[in-house]
This record gives sequence, C-alpha cells and structure tokens, in this order.
Amino acid sequence: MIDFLKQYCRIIAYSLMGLVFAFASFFLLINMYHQAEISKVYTISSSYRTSVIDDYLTSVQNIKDNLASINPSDYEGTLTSSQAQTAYQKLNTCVTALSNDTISSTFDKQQVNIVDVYYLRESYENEAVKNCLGSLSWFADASEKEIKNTFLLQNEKVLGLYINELAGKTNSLKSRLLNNSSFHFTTYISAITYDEVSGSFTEVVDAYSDVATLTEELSNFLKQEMEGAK
Amino acid sequence: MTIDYLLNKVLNVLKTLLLLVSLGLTLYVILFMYKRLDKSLVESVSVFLPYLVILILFMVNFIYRQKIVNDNFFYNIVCCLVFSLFIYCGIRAIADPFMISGIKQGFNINFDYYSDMIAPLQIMLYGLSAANIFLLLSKKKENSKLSEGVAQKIDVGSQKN
Repeated sequence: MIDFLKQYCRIIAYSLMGLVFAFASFFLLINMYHQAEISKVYTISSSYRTSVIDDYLTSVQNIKDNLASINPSDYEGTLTSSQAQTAYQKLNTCVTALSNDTISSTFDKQQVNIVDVYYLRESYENEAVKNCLGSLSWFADASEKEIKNTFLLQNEKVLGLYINELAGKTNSLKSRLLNNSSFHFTTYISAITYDEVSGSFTEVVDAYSDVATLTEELSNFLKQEMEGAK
Repeated sequence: MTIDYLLNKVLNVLKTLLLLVSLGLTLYVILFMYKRLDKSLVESVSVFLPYLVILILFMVNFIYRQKIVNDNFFYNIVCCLVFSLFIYCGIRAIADPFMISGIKQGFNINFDYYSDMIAPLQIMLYGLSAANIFLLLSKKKENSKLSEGVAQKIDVGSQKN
C-alpha cells in the first residue's frame, strides 16, 4: 500500500515538474519574442520621405513664407487691427510648434524605434495639440469673438470639429504605446498584420501633416485677406 | 564517475547559484517598488514566501544528501530553467530600453512589467517546492532494499543446503 502511494507521489512530482517546465518554457519564449518585437526598427523609406515628410516640410515652409509676406499693421479690412494681429500671432505660434526639435531630429533619422515614436507622439500632444491647435481654435470661435469675417463665420463649425478631431487623433496610440510592456502588445490578433513601429510612426506623422495642412490653409486665408484688403 | 553524475553535480550547484541571484534581483526590484509605493516591506512577505520555502527545501536536500532530489536530472534542469527565467525577467525590468512605461515612470525599473510577472513566478516556485516534497515522499528506504537483497541471498543459500 505504501509503495503504491509512493509511486503516486512520484507521478505527481513528475507531473508538477512537467507543468512547471512547460510554463517556464512558454514564459521564456514569449519574453524573448516580446523583446524582439518591441526592439524592432522601422527604416524610413525614400518614397515615404518624398511623399509625406517632404510634403509636411513644404507645408511648414509655405506657412512661414505666407507669414513673412504679410504685415498685420498695414491691414484694413473686415477684421479689426487687434484681430488681425492676434490671427498673425496665433499662426506664428503654430508654425513654431510645428517645427519643434523632436520632429526635426526624428525626420533626420534613417531608422526609428518605438521609443522615437513615443517621443514624437508626446511632442504632438505637447506642441501640435496644446500650442498649435490651441491657437487655431481662436479661428473656430469667430461668432463668439465677434469676428465679422465671412470665411471664418461660415467655416467655424467645421473648423471646430476638425480641430477637436485632430486633438484626439493619437489618444488611442498613446495607450497602446504605454502598454507595450504587456505581452498582449505582441499577441493580439491584429499584430500579425500590423507592424506597431511603422504603423505608429505613420499615424503620428499623418496627424502632424493634417495639422500642418490646416495651418497652411488658414495662413493662405490670412494672406489673401490681408493682401486683398490692403 | 559518469557524465550523468558530473552533469547532475554541475546542475545542482548551478541551480543554487541561480536561485540566489534571482532572489537578489527580486529583492532589489521589490525593495524599490515598495519604496515607490510607500508600502511597508512586511507586505512583500507573500512575494518572498515561495523563495523561503524552496530555499529551506534546498538546504534540507543538501544537509541530508537526498539523492532522489539532488541527482534528479529533470528536476535540476527545470530549476535552472525557472531561475534563469526569473533573472531574465529581472534584467528586462531593469535594462530593457524599449518598454515605454519604464521611460514614462522615470524610474530605472519597469514596475508594470515586473508586477505582471510576479504571479507566474510565484506559481512556478510553489510548483517546484511541491515537486520537491513529492519526490521526498516517494523515496524508498535504502536499508529495506538492502535487507531484502540480503534476505534473498540467505534464502537462496538455505535452499542450496
């Protein structure tokens, strides 16, 4: 009887060891896979550089050129002089935010990793959203600020909605990036077809491009407004 | 001296060394984690309890020279694998530069990652402890084997006579 029980003890001991072995092997392998996955780098392709990054830089340059070509103190039109001055300053703040150090240093790199993407997204939130979109929201409150400009009054609702959309565009990306120390970063089903580093990078750059395009449009409007009313 | 014997001895020493290193790493991470959370270290007993249990069992195995555990190749291999995993996780929590929550928190240790790993690590330690105890329970008395052998010889001798 005792021998029988001892044999059972041996079976249980080996079963436990087998389970622990399987469990430890699984954790070791998934840790190694996770480490390899999050340390991936994305090489910025020349086609992406010419099609998206160069477009963004051109937009920023156009805003700078537009702002350089206008002088709000000479303006006499539908906007009051203080409104013209404020609009000019808002766009100036925006262009400074859009050419921040983080985005410049990221675009200079040939390869980016997940940490670069995280810092780029942080700069989007701190610079593009807080400084730039925060300034642009001034244009979306035309009736509230008693701005008597037809273009701004007609577009304020759409402008407000678009600014809000751009402000929250990278929120889900933020939670995904902050969660990258969890294993489901790599094991959730869409990870099979979605490269987190390149996907996140293009998502932030697209958001930046959208903000730059909007700012460019508003700078074009201000330029036309000031040139037309001179 | 066979290769099996040498391999078991090496693994036996290695598993003890790995256990001590992993215990040190866990202590380092947990100390910082509880300091950051302003929690008393007494509350971390549950984390260190499985370590204590397995350490006591290893000491018992060593002092009483229990071959059923010390010379068990599979047990030694599993122990080495588990403790290596602990060390790997500890090193990742401290030194992996690609985990964003570690950067965001601004500490040198990624507590989010390590706290996720604590429960599986504890389960594995308890599993090893239980396996150790069951192996000890399954041990057959060497004296009884010897006496059985002697009895058989006497029996054979008496039949010849």
